[in-house]
Amino acid sequence: MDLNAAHVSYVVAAYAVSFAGLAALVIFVLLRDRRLKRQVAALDRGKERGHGRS
Amino acid sequence: MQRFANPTRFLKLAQAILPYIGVATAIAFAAGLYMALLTAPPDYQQGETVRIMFVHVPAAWMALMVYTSMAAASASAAIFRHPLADMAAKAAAPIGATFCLLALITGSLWGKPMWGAWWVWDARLTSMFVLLLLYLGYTAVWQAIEDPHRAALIARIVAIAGFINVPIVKFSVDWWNSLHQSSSVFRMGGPTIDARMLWPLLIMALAYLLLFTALLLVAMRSEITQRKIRQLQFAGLEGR
Repeated sequence: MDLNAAHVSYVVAAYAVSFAGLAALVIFVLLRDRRLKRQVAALDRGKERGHGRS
Repeated sequence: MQRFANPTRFLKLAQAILPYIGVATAIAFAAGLYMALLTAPPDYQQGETVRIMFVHVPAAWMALMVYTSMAAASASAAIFRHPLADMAAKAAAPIGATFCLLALITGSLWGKPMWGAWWVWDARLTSMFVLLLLYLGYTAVWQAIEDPHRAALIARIVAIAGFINVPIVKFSVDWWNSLHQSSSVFRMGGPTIDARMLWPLLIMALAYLLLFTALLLVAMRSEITQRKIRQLQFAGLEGR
């Protein structure tokens, strides 16, 4: 790719936006999955403790 | 397909194949970007700006494919009562919306140097914008309605009714006078694009497809976990 060609800044911006958008999507999906896993684990622990008492 | 309708079986399958899809996605992106940025030649008219096509077109294809799969999943949920179908459609929506938004932004970044305008109310661009609104509307239904059964019913109607826009996006360049160029890959008579540009485009499209598959599996796993959380919270309230 010729970095001195006309309109190269638009090409760079398009790849940067695509990378940022896809990276944000991956992070959002993975963080949500981890948060929900922690939440269900906490609820499971609470349920087991409840059974232990009864 | 019915075999994987069981959430436990689905989770096992997803766990087993996710690492392979992750590795395949990374390899496809590395190869696709190498070809798109280094080996593909500049266009004789567009020059280096043609390289925007390698991120713009796969995003647009995926936006259409994801919405089609959401409509199919919603129809499957309505007809066959497939237990994972609504979850699949719900999990796919934010991913498809991101692809749609990226297609619009990268298209705008191509339009400015080529057409001299960031945006025109052209049939293709407008129908693509409507697709983004449909994605947002579908997601809003799930967010706004608390009862999951009612939300699923209305979301199915939005997904199936909104599918009418998919062929409009695809054929808008043939049906109306459009600034946007007509199809050069999926057309009668075969692709008109040079092989040195076609291959990077197809490999980037494969990378986007693999990324979508990986994210969909994780997002569906999250939906199953969320359903379990709701059941546990409900059981906890009943226990009191």
